[in-house]
Amino acid sequence: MGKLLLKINGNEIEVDPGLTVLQAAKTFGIDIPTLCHHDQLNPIGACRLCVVETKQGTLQPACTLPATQGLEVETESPRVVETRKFILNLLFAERNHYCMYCEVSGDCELQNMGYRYGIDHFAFSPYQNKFPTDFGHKYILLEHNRCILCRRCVRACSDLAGHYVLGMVNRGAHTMLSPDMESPLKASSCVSCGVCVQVCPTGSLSDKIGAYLGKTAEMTKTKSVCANCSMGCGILAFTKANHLIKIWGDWESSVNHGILCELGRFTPLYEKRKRVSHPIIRQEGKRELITYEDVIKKAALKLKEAKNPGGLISPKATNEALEVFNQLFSTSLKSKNTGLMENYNEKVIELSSDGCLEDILTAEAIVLYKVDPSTSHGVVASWVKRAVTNDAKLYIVTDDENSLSFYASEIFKTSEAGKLVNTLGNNNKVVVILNPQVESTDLETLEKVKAVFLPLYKSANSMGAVKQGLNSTFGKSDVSLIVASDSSGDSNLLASLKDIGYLIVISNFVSPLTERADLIIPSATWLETSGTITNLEGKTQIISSIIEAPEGVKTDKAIIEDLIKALG
Amino acid sequence: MKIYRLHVLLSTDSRSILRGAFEVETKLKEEIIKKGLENEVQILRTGGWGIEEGVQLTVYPGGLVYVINNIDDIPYLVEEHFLKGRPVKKLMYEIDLPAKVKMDVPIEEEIMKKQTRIILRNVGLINPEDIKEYIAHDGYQALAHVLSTMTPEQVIAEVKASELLGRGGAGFPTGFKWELTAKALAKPKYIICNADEGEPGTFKDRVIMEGDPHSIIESMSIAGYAVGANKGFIYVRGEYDLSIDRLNLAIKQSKEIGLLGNNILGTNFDFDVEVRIGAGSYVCGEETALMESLEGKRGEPRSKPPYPSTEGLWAKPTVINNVETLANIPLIILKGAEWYRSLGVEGSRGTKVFTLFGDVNAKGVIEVPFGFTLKELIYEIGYGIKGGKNLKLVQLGGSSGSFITPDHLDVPIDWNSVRKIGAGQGSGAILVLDETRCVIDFLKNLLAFFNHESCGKCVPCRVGLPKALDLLNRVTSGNVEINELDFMENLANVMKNTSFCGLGQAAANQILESLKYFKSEFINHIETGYCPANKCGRL
Repeated sequence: MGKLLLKINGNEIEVDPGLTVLQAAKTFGIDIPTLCHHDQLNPIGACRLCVVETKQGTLQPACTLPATQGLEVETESPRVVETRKFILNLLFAERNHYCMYCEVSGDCELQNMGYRYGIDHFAFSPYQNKFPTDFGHKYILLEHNRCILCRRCVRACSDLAGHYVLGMVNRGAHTMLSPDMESPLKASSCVSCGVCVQVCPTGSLSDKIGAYLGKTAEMTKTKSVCANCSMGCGILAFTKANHLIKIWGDWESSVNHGILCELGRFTPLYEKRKRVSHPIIRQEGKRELITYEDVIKKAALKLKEAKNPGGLISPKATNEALEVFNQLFSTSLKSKNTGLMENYNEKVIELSSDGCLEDILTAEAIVLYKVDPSTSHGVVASWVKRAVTNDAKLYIVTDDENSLSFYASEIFKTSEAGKLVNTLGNNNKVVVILNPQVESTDLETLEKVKAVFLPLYKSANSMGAVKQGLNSTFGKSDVSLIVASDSSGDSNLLASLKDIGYLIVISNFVSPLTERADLIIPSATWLETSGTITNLEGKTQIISSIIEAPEGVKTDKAIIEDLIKALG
Repeated sequence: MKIYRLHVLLSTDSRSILRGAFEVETKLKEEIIKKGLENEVQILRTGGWGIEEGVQLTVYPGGLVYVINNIDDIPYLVEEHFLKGRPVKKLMYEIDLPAKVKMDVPIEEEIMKKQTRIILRNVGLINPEDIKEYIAHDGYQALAHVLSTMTPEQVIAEVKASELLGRGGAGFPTGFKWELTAKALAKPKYIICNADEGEPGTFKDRVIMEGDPHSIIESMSIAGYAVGANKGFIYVRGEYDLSIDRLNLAIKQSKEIGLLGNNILGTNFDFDVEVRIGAGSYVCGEETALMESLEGKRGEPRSKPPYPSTEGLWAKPTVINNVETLANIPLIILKGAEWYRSLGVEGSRGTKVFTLFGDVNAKGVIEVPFGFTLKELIYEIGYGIKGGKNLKLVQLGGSSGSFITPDHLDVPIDWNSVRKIGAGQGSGAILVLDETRCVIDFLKNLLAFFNHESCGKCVPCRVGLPKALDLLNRVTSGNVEINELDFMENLANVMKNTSFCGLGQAAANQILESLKYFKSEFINHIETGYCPANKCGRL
């Protein structure tokens, strides 16, 4: 189909077919005001603020009006402006819109519209119906009295995140947002993905921390990638005076399209673990502070003297840190005794060479094999829920509870996994989401399935580490270096450290691992680090330092480089 | 087959049942047995005639209409009329006029003298719970004809040629609607019968469903054949218990003899119909909200386009027709489009079922060809205004309809003529208000209704209605300035121009028309603090 010619405000413009008038106007740089509309969501035409006047004299909402050949509209005619003012007057008078008492004053789209159209008083008696407030949720404040019923949150919760928690109850003037049909948010099936907060145009849904810490305009925004699991979701971090205030999903990210999970959006804001703030040395059972220069010298000396130096690194470290870590052991120390703090079944890695997250959304059948993405990879769970809503079949193989059981067509015990092969027989596109630590016996069944395999690695850069050949276990050594990032080490690891003569730990936080260490070097968290990480699909992305590390605290890469230098 | 001397048709629509139709039936049977007439008198259950009084008995031969208000009259009636052959004048249907009009003449001559019953052809004549009676009245003939001799294109061509317009209120050409759906590529396709008759004062669809349910099923099958759909839904409002029961029974009966299901009448056409029940929302009568509700979602209208013909139920091509529209189909097929076009007037073919109520003598369901004037409907068919008072206002088309003042009584009721005076005939409800009514009180009632039924999706309707009601309450409590009426008009204009669906637009229309025709009454209320009709309490 060719281009369409239409006239907006007297300007002839040419657009591709399939656009709405709102989109067409935007391509031409004409800004039509909206409230219920959000670029990421399907338009519903609820607020009527975007009305434009057609040549025939009707008022039509631009967000749902298709741009058609020969259409002529005015976007700011006197009648349009008067109507918009009236609608804004109605909205301001509906509930509690006394802006000066609202924590999002300055960041509110309704308020902005009020300024744009000069709403300087209440035209009707305002706030006649009082609604409840729902402040019990761990992270989210739900203030019904500030809601304009635009349903952005409802659409985002269902269409984008696949959770279908939010909906509307009652009707007319009594209509209100409600999780799970009249449950408090706290008691609902909400998984705290927080997308509702991100799309809310007013102060109706806000997050408990961010809402009270100032206006968005006063914050620094940094685009980065979340490192709390291996998905590699794009984020937009808001900081002020080197404090992390809030995290949004990056709508432009091709990985998560703006959706996050609790781990990505809220967990970093609530970080309570105690940082390692200064290098520490343990001598004769006593711990003492030591300068950074000394700690590097001491560590280099110990490693140099070692007969069999060994190294472990967290798969959360950046590719650049992994590279210098490899260099430290292979070149400086001439040792091959290195490994990762987590290990994966090599066969899984082979199987999953062509898996891609988008495959979940277009799959006909999805298998969750001994894995529950809701807790570890929330956005994967979102994608699975969305796929199931689009008629994909979900099969779960597990011996435990699985939080996605509700969505499953069938649940198999591990011993019955063989049945999968027949069950999946007719489906063209199968995606198997699996735990990368499954045993080889599990794979005997899975190999028979024609499918795309997606292993859910735990850590942000697991794939990067695997690609650098680090997926190996850690042998016996007399002096060991552990680059732990924020990991505290599992019980197996801690047990294996018993025989080690001297332990050097580079860590973000105080943990059982640092308790065991002879030398502790503080390191920057992922929020304070720049570099690249490779997500579970093998996509390498840039993470940027969102806040500055405390004084004297360096990144893993810088510390290892200093060690290499000290080793000569 | 038994041959009876007398046939008594007993009205058993929900209204008659509430007035004791079944008790009347039991008593009648008892008395008939007592008099030993069980082989001579047959009692037949039918739908309602549309008379809003008592339980009606129509006795054939003769076609006398009795209205039973008291069950104790039955022994006398049985003895006098059924046994001795002397009609009982005091029980006959009569209309409360100063000079009482007694219906002691056959119904065809009196009630029907002005009416033409096409849509209601079987209502009150056949037993709606017996498919054989429908078949005996040419039922399923049209379906058989369509399946055996016509192509889908020919069916659509015939319906188009009939110029049948949708009776739900908008008057969209039915044949064209079918054609659009037939041409849509996506599959499967659906047929929906909109039986969510929620318009206050409209009960024509109920009368059809309770009196002739099979005609709906037959028409839906024909529509299914024409557009290539194999599944139909009848969305009935939840309050219509009897309609739901009778439709379900009719579906069961037609399935049993192969008129629904697979390979209907031995052809390769499959069609199934399912009744779905609404949960009591006015806006679910709006076609897209109805579909949302059918899909199990919150009943709120969708934006159009896309239209249901291409993306309807579950985003598949869907024909959605009103009950009354569908009831026309069998006759169009059997008697032909040309015959159908001979009824009514240019631009409005066929007949229209109206529900006449309010301050009028003969309330009920009437069916006339298009082109009758309101004057004829009210003063001839409705026997005039109660108590001989003067007419103040007619609301045509239910609460969403338009005001017609006495000046326009001579305007013929057809799509074009009504449109010319800026009105719409909507669902066909005719609410007659006499001179003693207060427009502000009436408007307050209307707005309270719309406010209650607003779905809450769009701002102008959701917020505008409470604010308008607020203003109106201030008018009746004497706490308003006259210039606030202009503000009310502005508000109504914004609501009319920007509301998402017909609900908000129609509500605004009621405000605008009240202000247009009766502004003086508003001013009167405000200035004198007095309600001339004494409806608004002390101001």
